[in-house]
Amino acid sequence: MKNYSKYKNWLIILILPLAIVMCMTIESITHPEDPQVNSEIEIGVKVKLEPENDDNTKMVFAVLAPQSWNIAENAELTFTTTGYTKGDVVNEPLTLVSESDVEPTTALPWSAAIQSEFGLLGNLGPVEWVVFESQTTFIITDEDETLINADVDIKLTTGSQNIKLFMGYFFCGKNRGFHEEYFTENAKSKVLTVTGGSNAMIDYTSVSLVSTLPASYGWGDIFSINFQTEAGPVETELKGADKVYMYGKAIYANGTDSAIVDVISDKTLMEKVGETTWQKYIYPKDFFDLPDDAVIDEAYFYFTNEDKSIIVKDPSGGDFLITETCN
Amino acid sequence: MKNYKLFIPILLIAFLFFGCEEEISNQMSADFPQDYDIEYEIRQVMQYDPMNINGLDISEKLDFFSTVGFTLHYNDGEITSLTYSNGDVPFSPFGFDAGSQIDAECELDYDVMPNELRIKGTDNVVAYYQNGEFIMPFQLDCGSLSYKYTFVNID
Repeated sequence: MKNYSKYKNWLIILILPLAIVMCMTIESITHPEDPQVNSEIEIGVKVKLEPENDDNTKMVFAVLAPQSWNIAENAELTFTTTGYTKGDVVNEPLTLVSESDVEPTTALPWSAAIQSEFGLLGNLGPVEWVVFESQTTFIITDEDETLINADVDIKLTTGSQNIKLFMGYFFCGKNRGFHEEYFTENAKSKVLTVTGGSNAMIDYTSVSLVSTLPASYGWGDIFSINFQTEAGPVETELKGADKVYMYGKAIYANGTDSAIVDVISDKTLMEKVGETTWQKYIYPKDFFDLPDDAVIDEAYFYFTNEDKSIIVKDPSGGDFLITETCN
Repeated sequence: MKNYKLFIPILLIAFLFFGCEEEISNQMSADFPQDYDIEYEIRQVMQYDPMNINGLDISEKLDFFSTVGFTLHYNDGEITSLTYSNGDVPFSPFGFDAGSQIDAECELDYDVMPNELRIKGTDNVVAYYQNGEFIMPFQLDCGSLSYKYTFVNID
């Protein structure tokens, strides 16, 4: 009997950490059917909290979105709860967390702490975590609260460019933050594709045959054209080539003029920076030999080997289109 | 005994180094030049963007960066003027009107941190002196991108 008692204590010690962790989950994310550029869209996020510990806390809710959308300025978030025994909240606005507020376990500003914990959820372009908080401080007592659901409604205005990304969402209690007994890893994302703009689709979700570094740039900046000889299931004929050259064409002056660079020389020779990755940095006006006051509208590129016996264009058959991405 | 075995070779090696050291006088030679020039060239060109907040060095990516440089002219051991050449770079890193070459009197302001290399009689800062190097931060087009030249003197 004494032995049993000893084992019982060990069993309690082992089970205790599992039992006292708060259960926080994002149940569903609803995106609009066909979001368009420069338009207000509405997103719904259902979250669930199964309290296991007592706490008095506001809710922190974070959204991962393109930096160019500036949702800190243009998004409106509200939420409604069900199941909160001390009085549900209805359509309460979520407001921006102060920049001076820090996540308590990391002492980092909330946005930095969330990015440090979850990263950018697979996005390959400039996105940011924007963090909001409830006005209501929830008085969580384990005995009273068994399940609290919340519907978060997000209204935001999309940017001016076609874009595909992983929109991300996260919530936790503000008081304890990432404290292990009050927090479960619950950041979730869902692909959002915004169309209707004039630019080539900016895809933050996957490596494409052609990309730029940085992802956002102006025509007056320095940036690289990156060419993958293989990306996902697509394998181009330039895979394994010793040298890769870049053809370029710039359209400027409101589409009335163009400049073409079509030579096999050091000017167009790309640098191999990975097994299947080639790169060419350009300062566009210099590369295309344009006058200082030229205004570039768009640029097209394709890639060749040294004797031009292999030419790789966009899988649709056209040249790869690059447009200015700075907002 | 074991310790002595280790100690003796270490001592011998230490003496070897002492043997190589030259005596350095802290007295400035009478014929030490007081009027001289120091040339600087680009060591690094950093590009910063929101996805690469620590920056990427692009100095080797474009040939024209190797053509930028400047010379500081010293009189009586003090900086008095500057000759800056933008070389083949198709843009200017300065926030003020400057041609492809600057020849101007200048001064290094030690009263501000980092020290500012300014064109004399103006607020035009050419570069900042920091950790033994001159740096020139600048922007070109997109507000989310920034750049920084770092110059080192040519020995």
